[in-house]
Amino acid sequence: MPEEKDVTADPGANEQRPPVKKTLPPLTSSRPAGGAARSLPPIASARPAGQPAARAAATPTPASQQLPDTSAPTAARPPAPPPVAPVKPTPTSEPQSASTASAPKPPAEIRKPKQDKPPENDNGIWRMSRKNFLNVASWFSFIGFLATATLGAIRLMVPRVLYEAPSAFKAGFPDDFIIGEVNEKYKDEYRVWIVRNEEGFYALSAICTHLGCTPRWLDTENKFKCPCHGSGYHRDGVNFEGPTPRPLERLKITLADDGQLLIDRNIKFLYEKQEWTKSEAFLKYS
Amino acid sequence: MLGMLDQLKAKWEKTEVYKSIFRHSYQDTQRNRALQIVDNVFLHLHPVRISRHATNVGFTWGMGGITFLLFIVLTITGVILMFYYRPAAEYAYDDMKYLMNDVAFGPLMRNMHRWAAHAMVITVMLHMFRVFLTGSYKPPRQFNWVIGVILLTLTLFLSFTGYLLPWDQLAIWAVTVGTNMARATPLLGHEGPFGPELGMRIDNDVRFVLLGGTQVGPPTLLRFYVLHCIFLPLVGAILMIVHFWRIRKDGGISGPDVDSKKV
Repeated sequence: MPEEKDVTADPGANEQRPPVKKTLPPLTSSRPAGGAARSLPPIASARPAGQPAARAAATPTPASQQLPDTSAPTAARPPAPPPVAPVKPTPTSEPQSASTASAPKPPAEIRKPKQDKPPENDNGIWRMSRKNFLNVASWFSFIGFLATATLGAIRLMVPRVLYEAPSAFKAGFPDDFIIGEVNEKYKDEYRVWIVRNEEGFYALSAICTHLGCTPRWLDTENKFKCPCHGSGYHRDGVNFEGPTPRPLERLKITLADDGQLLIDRNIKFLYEKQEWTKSEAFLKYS
Repeated sequence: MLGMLDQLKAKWEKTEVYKSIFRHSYQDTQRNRALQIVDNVFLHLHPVRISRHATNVGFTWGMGGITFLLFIVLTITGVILMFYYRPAAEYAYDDMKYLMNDVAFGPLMRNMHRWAAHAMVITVMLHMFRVFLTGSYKPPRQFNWVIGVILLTLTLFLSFTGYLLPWDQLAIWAVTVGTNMARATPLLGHEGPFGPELGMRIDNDVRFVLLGGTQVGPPTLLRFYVLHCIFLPLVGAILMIVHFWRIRKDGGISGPDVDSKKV
């Protein structure tokens, strides 16, 4: 079976040889031999004309074969506009206009491949001229349209309205909290614990500082414990076990004008930056 | 009786419909076998001829082909799952439970989708491992290697977006953890290098755009669903076409020097 697969569907081989599979030589022998051809990319020899100049330049072909191609594009192309800058008189450069095209051609042997090269100093479709103005303008408007549409699509992906809990919220009156209790009333909606001790209040963000899960408050063990990877925190938010690198974050807690606790989840206080000592990180209340 | 069947068969094979579909006989000649390949839009991605070493399973492990097969399996089972799944927070979990408990062949389809997804990540890795071991990333195949790396990220992102869709606790927290990485994106994340300097906040950075909010919620479910079912498979399929076509343009499956006597 491998031998049948090996010669799978080679129509050329079939025409030349009797279709006896066993006697067919391996694939490689049907290719032209010769070191120079083998070092090329396998399909280079089968390539039609008009390939990119880089590939074409790698194929050394006799100059006599190139000659018909040399004259053809020059004659077929409509006269190019006059060059903007003076053309370097290099022998490989193409004639720049109709007037120079009729000039005597340089000898054939120094005209290497690259006959498909565009004229120098030709801006192609970006050529600014009266005739080409609509062309350039069309491209500008097309690119402008694409850019605008892309930017609009990106902007569309940024929602203007969020159906999420507001970042700042009122958490009731201070006297409703029990001293020494970790209050979980606002955990589900706002992911915040409010802790009342003898001196006052602090608000802990219920976002594990390891990877962002929501820890649980274990009252009997007097600690916060994250179910995802086992990080543990003391009642004050300082970590003591598990993979977490730093304590829980505290949030801005103040008294609103009506006397309720006001918590702003956008303002965070980080222990490792010595921010827990700031006034808004702890609400003194007795 | 048999003669009548043969007559019918001969008549059927002469109809326009038959010839439009099959085009070629089963004649086992090399020319006919080639025509069967090149005259078929799906099969013509195959090269007309391949070298001997390319058929050696020990050389390629067939991992690219297996990956593509798994992609097809995932496409078919995924479309079937879409008939029952609604990407809204109110329904998603219940629909998943419905599929697993009450839909005929629902568990089969969902488990095929799940296991094929896991397997595809593994086969993509093994495919890249093989390509690395055989040096097939080297010129002239360097462009296809880059396409392949993009396809790898698409595969991982498909896997990640599909992870959220069951909408259970595992999905929500896994995606919460996963998307927290996007906070640290350079320039575009609000906790990344130069992010805050460029005005990135939690409600306008790249993670916000990905989630459709500041946390994993119903907009995230919808976004991930659209990415998972439409955007990523579409981009992936287009890149796969380029990937397969490019293999042929770069000279087929890489191998030892074909002139070497050791082949």
